[in-house]
Amino acid sequence: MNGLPPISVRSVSKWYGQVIGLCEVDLELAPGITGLLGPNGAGKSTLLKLITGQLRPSLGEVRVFGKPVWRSASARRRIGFAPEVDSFHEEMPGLTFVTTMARLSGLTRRQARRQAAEAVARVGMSAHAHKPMRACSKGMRQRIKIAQALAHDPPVLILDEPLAGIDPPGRLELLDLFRRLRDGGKTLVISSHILEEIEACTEQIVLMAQGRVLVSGTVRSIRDLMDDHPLTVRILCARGRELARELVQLPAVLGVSLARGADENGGESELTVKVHGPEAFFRRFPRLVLEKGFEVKAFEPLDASIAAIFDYLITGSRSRT
Amino acid sequence: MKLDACAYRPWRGRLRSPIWRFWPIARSGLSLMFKRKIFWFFLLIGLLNFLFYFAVIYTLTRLKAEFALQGRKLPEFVQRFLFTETGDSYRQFIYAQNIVLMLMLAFCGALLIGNDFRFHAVAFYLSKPITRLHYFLGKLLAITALAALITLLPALALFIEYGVFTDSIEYWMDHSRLLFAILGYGALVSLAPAVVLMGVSAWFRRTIPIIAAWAGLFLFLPYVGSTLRNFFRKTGGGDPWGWSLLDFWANLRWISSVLFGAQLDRYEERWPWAALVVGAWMALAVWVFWRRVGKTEVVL
Repeated sequence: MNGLPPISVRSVSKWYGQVIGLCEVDLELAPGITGLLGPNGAGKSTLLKLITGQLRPSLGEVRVFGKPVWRSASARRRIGFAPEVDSFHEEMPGLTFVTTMARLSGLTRRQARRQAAEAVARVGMSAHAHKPMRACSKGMRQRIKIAQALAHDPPVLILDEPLAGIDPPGRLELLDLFRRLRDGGKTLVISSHILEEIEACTEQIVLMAQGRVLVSGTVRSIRDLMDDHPLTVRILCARGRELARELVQLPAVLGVSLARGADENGGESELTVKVHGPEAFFRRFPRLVLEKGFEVKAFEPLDASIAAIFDYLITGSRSRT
Repeated sequence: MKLDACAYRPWRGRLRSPIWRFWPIARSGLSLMFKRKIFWFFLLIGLLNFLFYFAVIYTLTRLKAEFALQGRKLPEFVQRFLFTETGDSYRQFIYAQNIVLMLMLAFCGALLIGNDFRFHAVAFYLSKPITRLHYFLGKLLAITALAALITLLPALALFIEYGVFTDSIEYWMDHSRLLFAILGYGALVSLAPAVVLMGVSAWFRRTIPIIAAWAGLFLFLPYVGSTLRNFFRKTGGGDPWGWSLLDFWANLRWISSVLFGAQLDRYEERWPWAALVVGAWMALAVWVFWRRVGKTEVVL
């Protein structure tokens, strides 16, 4: 789309009377999957509603492919939105609902029927397409919601908690669908509180808390920025005591703890290393291992996951306010 | 079906203009209502009155024809009974539908609008490239059409029936004004409560409060109006008819006096006030609805 960013949020704030829903948010989202994470009250839903043009920003502007999205039908027709709510017309069959939503997106009746049937098939709901919504499980409703967002084939998909209530095999199927949509050049923004699921489908995340974007980028780049937060690394190797002795001499290492008894038995030891400045440590550690001839069986950062970063940042943002 | 197994084709066509996008909303609303048994129950009740009028018209027209053959005129009390050929009967029929209409609309409002707001389903609609106006028009069209099913359409059918049983087209030719009056009053009786219902449903959201507020508007307020009118009539003398403006149905009936011809109603001079009150109710309802749709967001 002429090289314009799919979603651009510029200095956006949103107030609900005296309450700040979103404060000075700046984001530019590229094609691919972006995970939107944050606890309740973080402002995720407000941000999603601003991106889908349902709310007007109190300050700033949201653009979709360069067009302001507020009150712009042409910008909104490029968006597919699956809201968090899953209680809607209970008597209506899923396929009829998707067809109606496709027609609202501007398709003719015939086109809408065809596209709806294909979107329903794509989310694996063909067998239950004619079931009334009241007879659908939560997982089925989620799929129908995603189908209605997909039906008019928008380049941008905004999915609010799309995996909630879906069984594990269904989650795998949908995560696979999201990856294929990404590979097809679409932009997906997935809001979730299930961190592992976001981690499974994207590296790109936006962390929010208290109406602010705390940080955005890849999980690794975010972790690297957190120099003041010690990283914990688990190392499994023989000659554990010797390695521990070497490690404590490194300036980046804050401390090492060794699991007792392992070395005495001639087996492997488990070391837990607290590291300050992970980047320097990761550069130095392989050299040390090669120079001294240690046999490392396992090397695993324990708190470089989204969950750990999330906990750290959220705790930090609370203590700063 | 496995996701890999389905051949999804990306959409490559041109999208239509948004002007008519209220129609899918209306259509889905109507289809939702038609799936409810209770709607068919209300429709049946509403049509019982129609059947009664239908039978009376048939009987009277047959009697009239028989008497004409014998060179006699119908007794005056029979002529006066219902059908004076002035349109009073049609007006009477539409007015008599008000209770069933009120009950049916309360149910429609809870299902078509209240639920949308209650479950935040408005977000589905408003995330599409449509405006609040499309949403409003779609829902309004659905409710008005349902109301017209027991008011406007049966009244039109009675008008057609009367002409058919008189065995000539003279009735329709001579009373063409009645056709427009029926269309006007029928549309008004269908549209005005539908607009008010949209405001009430958007405001209260839940079924029981909607029904309570709706009943208050159409049963309690007229009762208050008539009580106050009687009270002030006794204490102050004269006829303080202004209190009757609290009766929504009476207001619509007064407005209809203009449509059917002023000679029908001795209260015809009251119609501008009635129109003002009905207009005010409608404007208030639209404002409430507009505000509610604009405030569908919740801070999560």
